[in-house]
Amino acid sequence: MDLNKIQNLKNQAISGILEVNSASELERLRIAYLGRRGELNELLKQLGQLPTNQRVEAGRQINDAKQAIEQTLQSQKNSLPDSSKINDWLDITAPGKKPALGHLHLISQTIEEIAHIFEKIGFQRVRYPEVEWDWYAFEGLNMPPEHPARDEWETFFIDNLHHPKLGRGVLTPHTSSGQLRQMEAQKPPLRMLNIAKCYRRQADASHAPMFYQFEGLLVDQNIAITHLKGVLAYFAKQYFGPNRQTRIRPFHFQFTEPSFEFDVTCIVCNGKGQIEGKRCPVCKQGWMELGGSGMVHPTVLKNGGIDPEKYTGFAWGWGVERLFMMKYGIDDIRLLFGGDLKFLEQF
Amino acid sequence: MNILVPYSWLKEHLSTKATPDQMAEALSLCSQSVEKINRVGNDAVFEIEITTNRPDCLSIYGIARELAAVLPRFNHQAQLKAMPELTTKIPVVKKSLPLKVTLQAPSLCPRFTALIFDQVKYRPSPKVIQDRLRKAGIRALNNIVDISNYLMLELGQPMHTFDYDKIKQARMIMRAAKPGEKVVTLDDQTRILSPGTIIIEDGDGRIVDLCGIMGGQNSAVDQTTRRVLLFIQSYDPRQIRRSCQQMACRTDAAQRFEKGVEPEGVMPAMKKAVVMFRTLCGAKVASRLTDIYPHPIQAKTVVVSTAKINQLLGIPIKIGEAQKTLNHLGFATKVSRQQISATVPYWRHDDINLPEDLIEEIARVYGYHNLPSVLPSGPLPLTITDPSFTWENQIKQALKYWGWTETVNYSLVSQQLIKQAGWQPDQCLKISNPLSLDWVWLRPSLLPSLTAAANQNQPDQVIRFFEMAHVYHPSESAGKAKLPEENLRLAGLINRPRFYQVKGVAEAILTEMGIKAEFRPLPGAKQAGQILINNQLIGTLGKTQDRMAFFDLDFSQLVKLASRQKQYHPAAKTPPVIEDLTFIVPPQTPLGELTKVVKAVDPLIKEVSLVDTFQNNFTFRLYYQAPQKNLSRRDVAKIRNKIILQVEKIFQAKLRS
Repeated sequence: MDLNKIQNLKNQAISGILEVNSASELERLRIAYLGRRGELNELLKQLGQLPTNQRVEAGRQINDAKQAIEQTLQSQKNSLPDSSKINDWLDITAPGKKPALGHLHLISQTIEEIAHIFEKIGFQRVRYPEVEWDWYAFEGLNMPPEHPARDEWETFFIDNLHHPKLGRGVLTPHTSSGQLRQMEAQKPPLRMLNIAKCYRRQADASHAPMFYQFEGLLVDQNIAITHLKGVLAYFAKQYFGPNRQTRIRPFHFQFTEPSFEFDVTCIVCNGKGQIEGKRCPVCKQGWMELGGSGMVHPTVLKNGGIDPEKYTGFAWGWGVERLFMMKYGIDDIRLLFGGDLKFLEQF
Repeated sequence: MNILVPYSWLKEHLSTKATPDQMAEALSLCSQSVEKINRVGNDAVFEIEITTNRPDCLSIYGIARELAAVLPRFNHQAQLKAMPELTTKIPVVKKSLPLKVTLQAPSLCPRFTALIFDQVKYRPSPKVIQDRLRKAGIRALNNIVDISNYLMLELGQPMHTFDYDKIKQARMIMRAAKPGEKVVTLDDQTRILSPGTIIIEDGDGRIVDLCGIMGGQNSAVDQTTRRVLLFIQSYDPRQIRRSCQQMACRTDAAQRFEKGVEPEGVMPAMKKAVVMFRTLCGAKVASRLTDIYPHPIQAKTVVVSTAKINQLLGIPIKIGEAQKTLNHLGFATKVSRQQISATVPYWRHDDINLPEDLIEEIARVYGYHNLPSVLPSGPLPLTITDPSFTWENQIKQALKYWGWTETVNYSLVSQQLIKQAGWQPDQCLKISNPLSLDWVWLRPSLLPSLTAAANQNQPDQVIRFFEMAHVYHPSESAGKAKLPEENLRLAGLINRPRFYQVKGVAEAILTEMGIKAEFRPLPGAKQAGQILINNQLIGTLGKTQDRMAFFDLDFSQLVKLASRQKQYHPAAKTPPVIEDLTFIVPPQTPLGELTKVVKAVDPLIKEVSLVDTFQNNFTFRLYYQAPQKNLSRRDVAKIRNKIILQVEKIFQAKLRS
């Protein structure tokens, strides 16, 4: 016999007792450990076999264990509910005691989902300023002042903020302002994922003055349109499900050439364009527009210090809210911002 | 900009058997996006969104030209028809009616043309013209005005018609408007001209035209008109755009001019106008053509190699096929040594500059939908993930499972909120062009919006809200062109005065992030405390005036201090002695201090924790433990006595026996 054996027996007994929830079971354990022929008595009988110098310590520990087991038995007995002292009935239908459970905002949930999908193919998240110079938001992206393309980006300006070379301070109207920052920070190959707040001067059911975009940027040698299609189709299938079809169509942005609009087959009508003979309320002929993308414009690469003769790349910038609003059929973006618990609790 | 294009009108310029649906598909996949097809009678009208780089598509003819290039890729034959009007010559008259033109600012008007018609008969247009205008979204007025609208829609070239007899002294001076000048336009509106706006003044000094935007009422065509001055120009798009923005007036013509109308398109429109004035108005040309075009556009040539085409498309394309596509679109091409040099047609002059621009043309007509999808296979960049993202997600998840609900509030807040929170405006950033009074300032703290979010709900609900977001402060070297500071903060709020719940959560967050911090009273505040790490302030917590409990942490700082490092301690070989001591403590005794004092009494005290509170009675649980031996009753009693003495001496608290 060694001292560990006493300790093990004690621990085993206590953990066994704590799991019991009927009086009869407790009595059974009491006899097994503390009874006349119980385990502890068995150990006491073996004391004589020990060398004298160990007997005292072993005796003390056995006593200790006995006390501890008795105490545990008593307290467990006290904690048994009355009904189970009478019989062993367990009401499975009574409500459980739930742990506290709050809610993560749909925006956070979606951002995490997007980040996971793109991390698997090497895109790293970054943080860049929300208050940014005109150069990064517009001019460096091939949109000089007064360019009509700027109309699409109704921009908030910041009072008293101006840089002699980089222009006015603006609230970033899109995550594309991260493109040049990334090119300045890293040489190709680069794979950036910029998920951030953006701001535009517009407010109605489908536009809030603040919203989120996720921007991808990949620059490397020999990057082609086929790669852009591959990456975006990979995302659409991961996010919306493997049966989605995707396509790109011609579009125009100043900072990509060529530029595309990216479509995925509608998740509501499954790409059919109609439901029960009526035009699908969500999509256009079975296709939903997800957002813009394109091959990075050579001027933008140059502005970012990258040789467009050596490298090509692609980028996209899509609305985060749009993704899940389509998924859940939420038709007013303004619900997302603020403290309406009736809304927040649903997710 | 969206335009309406009737199928029947397209067919006048395009011979094809393709149906409206087939056309819409080809356009959307390879050219400009068809948003809708409206059925009007037995015709179909396309609503097409034209991108800003393609003003050449803002016309029936432009769309027909695109269709001729893309329909064959969908196995539909299509041929652009020649316009016989374009080969007609403008008659040269012997006795020209006078018109004296002065261009004071030639850079604003790259090309100026004018022609006078006599014997004009004012009447309604034929039904086919009226129908087409209506389908394309413009009301028919009379044959004269209808011609200008019709040709703008058909060819994309806006034009204007004056009553020649209302132009005093047959004299026109084109100049930039001066501050304070006014004009009454065709729509009866008096418009104050923004300086720089392009206008025409007649011989009597009256302003007769708001160029490129709208004509003046004083020179408008009416049923008495017999002589018409037709006016076709191209303008500096930037000036038209500026004027439209400043005067908040954007006509169909102006929208085209501000996107760029090529000077080379002026004459085809003039020629067709001459034919239409003859047929629709019975008019005769009564003047020489005025054509001021000092710097004709030089056609440019862009070169692209097949290697570059194949590289960007990701698949090999036959050079002959690429060449054919460009020819369809109006480019003159030469192929040599694995490269194509393409001369850009005038209607694409502004849009096509780089090899990439040509590749776009080749690729879109080939069909992006016909390209395969391939994941890129290059080397992965060597980068290290910013740890703040992992922490952000981990702590948000923790809060969720601790029963808290996340809100997202606008970064922009109202003037009123700034005032209520007592912020100094010079410590905040202001929007110079706010959209509404609700969104004027960038918030320097999350708490006011969190409070507002909580108050949006019924007060009988217990609400635990948190938010993690940037707050904004002008950079310290403001004025020296530095971007503001954006700090990530994490704030939480319970709409009840449950201070120890928020403190517990703050403590749990710090524990989760492996950070030891101190909680101290906030000087000058009764109901609030500060959280310090190595004497550095990283957050506050407390109760608000409206009896809510809050915490507010500098998350950017926390991430810098956070650690996932854990230390392994082998379990002690000796059992601890555990006992509970209850003290009767005088009011306003800081328990944190008391606990510290108890703990410091002897190194054998391994742990002290508050386990029960009743009125002034506080029960502490003490763990005594020595590493090498079992503590005897006497050992423990010695330490206990010291504790009792210390606590009594420092805090006047007594052990309850």
